[in-house]
Parts: sequence; structure tokens; C-alpha cells
Amino acid sequence: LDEVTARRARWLAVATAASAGFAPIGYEPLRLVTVPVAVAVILVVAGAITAVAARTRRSGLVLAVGAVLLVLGLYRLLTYGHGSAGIGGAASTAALLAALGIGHVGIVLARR
Amino acid sequence: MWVQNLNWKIPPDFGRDEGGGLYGWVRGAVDRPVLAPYSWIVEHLVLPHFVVFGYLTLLTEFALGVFLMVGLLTRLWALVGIAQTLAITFSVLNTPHEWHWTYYLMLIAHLVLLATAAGRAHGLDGVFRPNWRHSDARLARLAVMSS
Repeated sequence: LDEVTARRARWLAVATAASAGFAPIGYEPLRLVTVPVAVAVILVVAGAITAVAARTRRSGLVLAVGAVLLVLGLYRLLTYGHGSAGIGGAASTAALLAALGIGHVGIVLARR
Repeated sequence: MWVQNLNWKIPPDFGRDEGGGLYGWVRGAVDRPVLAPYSWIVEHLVLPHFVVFGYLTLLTEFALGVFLMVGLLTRLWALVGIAQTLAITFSVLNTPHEWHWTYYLMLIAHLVLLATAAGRAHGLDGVFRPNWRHSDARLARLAVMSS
């Protein structure tokens, strides 16, 4: 990773981990995204891995985290309305995961 | 807004069987018409094929949330947001207790995204545009126009 992409990855790491902050919000108008506990854990771990990847300049790791988040998001969207799909959440959870996944993949692909 | 409101559009029937949910809101275009041609379309094309329409709505609003969240192809999705806002407005504007300014403000928010090309500032549009601008590919030219 070059310096610019590493900086972007650091910000994405922060945004990813911070998204877990929606999990404890019980007040509906402020719960912009449904984040169940399992997804909150995934987001914190993904954020931590991205932070390490940014520090060690490993683009493959950022790309892998993005791919996992994107696949999880699309999987949750496809299973929405047909049970919890193992990770819980709702369509908003799917959108958050997909968006973060596209963000991770995007910053790496743009530099190639 | 798009992301949060995905949650109550629940497949596979989207509220059709109980007459509530997305079905109930869309039916408002027929029960309390705002624009006659739109009401005709909803009554004769949308409601008879409601599950297909429900999935189209879910996918459109999912994509709106995702693309606007990361600022990718922002101008294109701002236009889609404007179209979706108009569809919602024509469905629910005459529903009791609806605040009409909600829909005017939704329109204005998307017009601002369209006018400012917001994704170029801190979104993926700003990351990708240098690559797109130096490419002769047709898709890249379309992406430049959409971002």
C-alpha cells in the first residue's frame, strides 16, 4: 500500500470498528443500522485487521477483509426474510456490510 | 435514511398477505390518489405483481444506501434517489398524518448530492475518477458522467 491508500485504509478501519457502536442503541430513531452482537464482533475484528494491514502496508489483507464483508452483506441480503442466516440483523445490516466491503475493495483496486 | 428504512420491507410478501408493510403504503396511491396516471400504474401494473415490485424496491433502496454511503457513482444514484422519492411521494402524500415536507426535504437532499457531486470529496468517486478520466473505455466515460 502506498501512503495515500494506507491513510484511507486507516480511516476505513476506524469507520468499520465504529459501526459496531450501533449495536447497543435501543432507541429506534437513532438505530440507523441494525447491528446484532455477532455482526458487531465481525466489524471490530475487521476494523482491527484493516488497521494492521494499513500499518504493515499489506494491500492483500485489506482486499480480503473487503471481500469477506461484501460477501457477508450480499449473503444477508439474499437471506433477508428467511431467518437470521446465522449472523442475525436485517437488510440495513446487509447494506452496512456491503458498503464497508466495497470501500475496502475500492481503495485497493483504485491504486492498481 | 434509505438504509434504515430497508428493515420494514420484508420479503417474501412485503406485507401483501396482511395488507400492511410496503404493500399498505403503496396501496395508498390507489386509495388516496395524488397523481391519476401514477395511481393507474400502481393499480394495474404494480399491485398485481407486488412481490416482483417488492424485490425491485428492496434492491433499489439497498443499492441507494450502499452507493450513497460510500460515495460511488453519486450523481447517478442521486438521480435514482430523486425518482424513488417521487414514487414514494405519489404513493403517500395524501395519507393521513403524513408531513409533506418530509418528501420535499428528501428531494432537496438528493438534488444537493446531484449538484455538488458529493462523492468526489470523501467518497470512492474521488478515489476512482483519476483512473476513469485517463481511460478510453466506454464504461469509464459513463462512470465519469455518473460520479
